[in-house]
Amino acid sequence: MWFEWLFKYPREAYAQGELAFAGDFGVLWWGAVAVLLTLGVVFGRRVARFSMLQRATVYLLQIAAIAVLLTLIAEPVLEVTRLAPGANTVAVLVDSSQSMALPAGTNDETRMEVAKRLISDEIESASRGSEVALFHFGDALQQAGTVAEVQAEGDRSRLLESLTDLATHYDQGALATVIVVTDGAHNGGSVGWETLAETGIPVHSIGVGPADIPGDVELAELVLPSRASPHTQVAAHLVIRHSSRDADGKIRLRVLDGESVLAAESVTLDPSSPTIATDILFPVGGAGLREVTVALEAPPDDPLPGNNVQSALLDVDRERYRVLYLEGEPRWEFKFIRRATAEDDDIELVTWLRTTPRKTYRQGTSDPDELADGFPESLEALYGYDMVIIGSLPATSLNDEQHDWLARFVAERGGGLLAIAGRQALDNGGWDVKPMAQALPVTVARPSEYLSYRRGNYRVHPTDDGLRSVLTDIGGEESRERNWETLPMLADHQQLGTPKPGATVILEAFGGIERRGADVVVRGSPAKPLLVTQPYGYGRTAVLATASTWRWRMRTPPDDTRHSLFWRHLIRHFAGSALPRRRLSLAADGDALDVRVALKNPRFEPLTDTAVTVQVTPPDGESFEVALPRIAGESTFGETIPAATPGIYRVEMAGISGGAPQTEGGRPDALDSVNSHDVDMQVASGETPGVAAGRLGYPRDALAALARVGETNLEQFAATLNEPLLRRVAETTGGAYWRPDDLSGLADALAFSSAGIHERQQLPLWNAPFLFVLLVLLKCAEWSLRRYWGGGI
Amino acid sequence: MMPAHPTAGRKLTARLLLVVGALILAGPTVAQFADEDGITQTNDELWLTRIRYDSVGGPRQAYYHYDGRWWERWETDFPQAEQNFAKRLNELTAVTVSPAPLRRRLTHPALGDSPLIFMSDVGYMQLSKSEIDALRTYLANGGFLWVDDFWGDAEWASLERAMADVLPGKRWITLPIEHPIFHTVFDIEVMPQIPARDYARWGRGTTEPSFEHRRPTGNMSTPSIRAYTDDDGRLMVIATHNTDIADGWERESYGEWYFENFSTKSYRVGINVIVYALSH
Repeated sequence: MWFEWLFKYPREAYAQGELAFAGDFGVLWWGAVAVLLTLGVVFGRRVARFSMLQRATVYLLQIAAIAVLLTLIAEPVLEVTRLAPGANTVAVLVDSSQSMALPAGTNDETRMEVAKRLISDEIESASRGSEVALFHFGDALQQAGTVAEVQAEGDRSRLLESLTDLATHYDQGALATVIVVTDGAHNGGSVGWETLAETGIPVHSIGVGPADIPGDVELAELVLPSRASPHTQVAAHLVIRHSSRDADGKIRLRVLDGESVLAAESVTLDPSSPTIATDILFPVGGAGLREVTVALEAPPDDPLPGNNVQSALLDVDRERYRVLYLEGEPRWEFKFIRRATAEDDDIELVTWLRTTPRKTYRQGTSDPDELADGFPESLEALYGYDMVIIGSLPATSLNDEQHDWLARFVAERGGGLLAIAGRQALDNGGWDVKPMAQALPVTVARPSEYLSYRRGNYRVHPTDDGLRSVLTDIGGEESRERNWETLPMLADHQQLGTPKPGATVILEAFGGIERRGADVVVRGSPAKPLLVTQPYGYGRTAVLATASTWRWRMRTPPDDTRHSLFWRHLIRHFAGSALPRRRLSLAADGDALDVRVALKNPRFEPLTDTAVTVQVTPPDGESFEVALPRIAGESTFGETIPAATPGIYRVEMAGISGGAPQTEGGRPDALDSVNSHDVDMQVASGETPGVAAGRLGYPRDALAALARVGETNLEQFAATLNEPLLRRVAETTGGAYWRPDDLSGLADALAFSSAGIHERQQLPLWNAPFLFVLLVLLKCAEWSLRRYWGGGI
Repeated sequence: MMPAHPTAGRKLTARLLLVVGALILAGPTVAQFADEDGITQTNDELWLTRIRYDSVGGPRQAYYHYDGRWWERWETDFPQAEQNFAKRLNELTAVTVSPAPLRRRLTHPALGDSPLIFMSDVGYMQLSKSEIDALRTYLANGGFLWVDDFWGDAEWASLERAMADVLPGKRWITLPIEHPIFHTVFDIEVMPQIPARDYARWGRGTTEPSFEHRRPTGNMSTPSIRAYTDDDGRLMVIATHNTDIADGWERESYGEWYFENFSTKSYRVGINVIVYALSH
């Protein structure tokens, strides 16, 4: 306000305009210069008795005052371009999604009522000189005749798409500016910010709605795996947002399949942490499609109970895992891991066992050549597995290239890697060598005389992190902690290095236990890490510091399944991180399906030189095929497919042509002498399982996906004012963000918009107050100094 | 006394093994066997475990006199056989075996710590109800039982009756030579018949005399491995019938001829069985 009073024009004018002089530098101007200089000389005599410094100061002030006078005489102007009156359009865009029907938070008005009031009272008048075009958006951009006809009914807020559409396709005149009135609760698709900026149309955003809804508890996010194997447990990842003021607030979570409650749990709402992330485990049951619902039991005063429930589809179907187990010595852990996994039809365990210093034994191989040279003969062959388990095997059993393959197997292929304790495992086996040591979740010390693997009796207990992990879900009829407490003691432990910063300790062992007759005496030694995991690249790694979990099988009743479940969950978890070679992903986007297909060759390099077709089955069952073009600049194929009928859509890969594997890996160098040519590899009859598909195909390929279209209540979620988004929209486009209670500068901001049809104007500055104020200040300063120093007036 | 035999084709390796074995056996012993209730904590993976059981009858039935003392049937060849076998396993395979074998009853609370158990000379064996239950549980959990050194029809029938109480309804199968157990480490083409050392004579065959065994013996000339499998086809119990594999281990140092002709074959069978049990 003061700026415009002092400088006569708004900031936008100075930001955009250029200073110039409209006057003629002719006789009058030069005459004025001569007169002023003469007066200065005459005046100079009157300050002759001042010191040199005092005279210089007075002269400077006088020269400055003369300069201001000469400037006024030269007629200063501000040259600007501003919207040509009557030639431009200002588009006013109102959010008409359902969230605009929620309270604005300031008085009894709804957000829509505030928006309409602003448009009628302030925005239309601020757009004087330009035509106002009214639009609204929810699911899509629409033009409106009057403000009154706009209703908050849209079940989505496609803010970014609507802005881009409007700025790009408006063809009813010169669009100078867009004013958008919204709460910013965008839940549409994504639009590149560069695309929005490239439209060149400034967007002024006006945010309506509260930044916080007191008492609201919201299930903000529900993440489920798209697929799960029958009769397994799955973790639902939840993000809960709340503005609870209650320090002791607890809320109940339930996982439902229709009316059936699959799991329930309580979560504490911490007032100091408005966002809570947690996992809840639930059994998926038998094969079939599930619509899993997670519901928060809303407090009675929850203002938005509609955002307490989310649903997601879960395709429960068989998922096969191919696991390679390399073991350096015959031992009971090997036998009982094989036995545990044999009970799981979805786990195909391929084992390579060193039986003597010069003989090995393979089991579970799908053809006579598999593992014929010991370690897989190529990177492609290694990538055919989803997980690798390394037992008591010296690191020297692998050459440098194979070590590198193993690390890449985890980091790039996304495979799981598990190292099991043993006399020749970890540091005892020289596994401190890179890059494997980097991948493991604990530091690995250099080999020494000290044997870190020792016999002893150890109890096992999950850590707090472990109790929240699927890895500690071993069934049983009691609580999870109790199920672990009652397991037989382990018979060995390997001292591990320090867990790395990103690692999670799942299980701990308590040693120092000894037997005294039938009694077990616990000496109370500190807990030692037993099962440590960490993500590494796309995959996961783990270290299990024992090789005597077989006791959990041999020293429990035959119907005790805890040992088996432990290993099955462990293997499924780590093998489950392996990336599929062919992945089809599907997302419902309003009344459309966004289909994406990513293909990789056997070395897991992107496969782009091919043609992809998918088959779409809508709810009515009339299937059709769609060819997916390659997305420009990406290594994926994709298409947006119209999906007008609400319901569940199934999309599956129908055809892939061309794009044969791009590279064939060479064989590695010969392994060490132990595994060289004279190794007697026995392939016994009856050892090969019937399923060979895992070797040829990739059982974890995701070739089909499901999505539900329509029937959403997205507008109940994230319904607070999203000011950061609106500020970003404004900054990206060259507009400004406005609060609804202060739109006083909007008119000037619109007038100097950079887009639209402009005219050039010279705004006179000779009568701008700041020049006269400056002149008075200069003369007052000079007069005051001369009085102070004792001179005359 | 070692029987003389003018074999011309003695192998150098066999001689060396014999010498080494004799030296080892003659040397100071660390621990002959562990106490029944004590486990010495070592890093060994495998503890050869001999099962102690009761037998019916009196002298020459439940027990017999040999080498200056009375022996119960369960302790035939024990502990020398296990001690020698442990040494050979440690030398020839990647398995780490405790040099001290265990002896345990089937009802021992820590029986599960020995996923492989060994029984010998079971021709007069009788199991109590608690032993039957314990063995049933042990096998259902994945334990592996090896029964050795019983000959002829009557002794087979004795074992068959005892095991019928343990695993009712199960049927014995005879393992063909193609079965993986004959090929895990060594390729065994013929199931060897190992007689007790006292009955091993050059030129007289390998079948023990019938008067040493429970009658009727029937034909004892054909050795075999018979087995019980679980519902998934995995071996639970194997019985090396009409052969005394453990005697081949026990008497390895009693003479070159016996070592070359019987001990080496005993070790081949033993190593294959052990590695099979550890990997299946």
